[in-house]
Amino acid sequence: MSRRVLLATAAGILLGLLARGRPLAAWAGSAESWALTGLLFSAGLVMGADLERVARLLRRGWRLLLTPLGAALGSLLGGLLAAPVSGLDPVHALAVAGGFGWYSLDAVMLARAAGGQLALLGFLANLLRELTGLVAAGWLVRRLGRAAAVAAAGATAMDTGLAVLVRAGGAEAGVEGFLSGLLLSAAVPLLLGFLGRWL
Amino acid sequence: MNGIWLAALLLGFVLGATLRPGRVPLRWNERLGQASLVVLLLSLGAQVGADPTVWRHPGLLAGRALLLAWLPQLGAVLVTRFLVR
Repeated sequence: MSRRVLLATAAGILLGLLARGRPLAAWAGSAESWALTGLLFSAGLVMGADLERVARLLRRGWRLLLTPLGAALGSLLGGLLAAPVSGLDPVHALAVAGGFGWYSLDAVMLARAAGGQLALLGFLANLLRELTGLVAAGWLVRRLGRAAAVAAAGATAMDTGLAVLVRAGGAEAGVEGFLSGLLLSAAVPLLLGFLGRWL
Repeated sequence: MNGIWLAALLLGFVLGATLRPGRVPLRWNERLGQASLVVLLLSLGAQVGADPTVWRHPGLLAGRALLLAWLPQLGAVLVTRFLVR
């Protein structure tokens, strides 16, 4: 979690508070679309450049897929359990949990589908998930094994969480984390696009 | 996902896959990614700040965010452990 992320978010919120009542939404929406285009191009380039590693990982067999599958199912189950406790609509809770830690994309897609309030909740919940995954990685590897740490990191296991996973669980945790994060990241826009019909 | 975003992701992927390893502009790409993220968060923050409904119950929002961060994370850990064992 970089300081830049927090500063940019805080500056944006301040800007929004100061510009309340002015036609800010159109500007922000347009900037958001361009920024997301750049972000996805950048992510695509990194994935494409790692194609060989991805192919090599896939040859290790279907068992590697159990970690992202468990992470996805468990996250959605946790989101469903959180719905009645937090007084949220189950679909809203699923859409927040379905960010799998990718706070920027989750929040942007929620802002478009359901407005600012759910977007902020998605942003905060997924940001907290990323932070907790980073902090708890070492403990999770020691107590429950590397798959648990990879699952806790969610979609961030392929980028921000990767270095922490490698340090805590060795190269194998890094390989597993990269594949799991890649698949979960690919699942986020599809899942949120699907859930968007009911938001 | 809107068509332009999907196209951007695919274009990046194809470029990354077709360029030779040493020719992929990873440093520029990292800068592009960072700049995009900053603009994205700035615009997202601005939309949040300008929305009066967001600021009505900040305590409730924080409680919900904690629940929706930790319960899905706990679920992910438990289900994965069950499947992997």
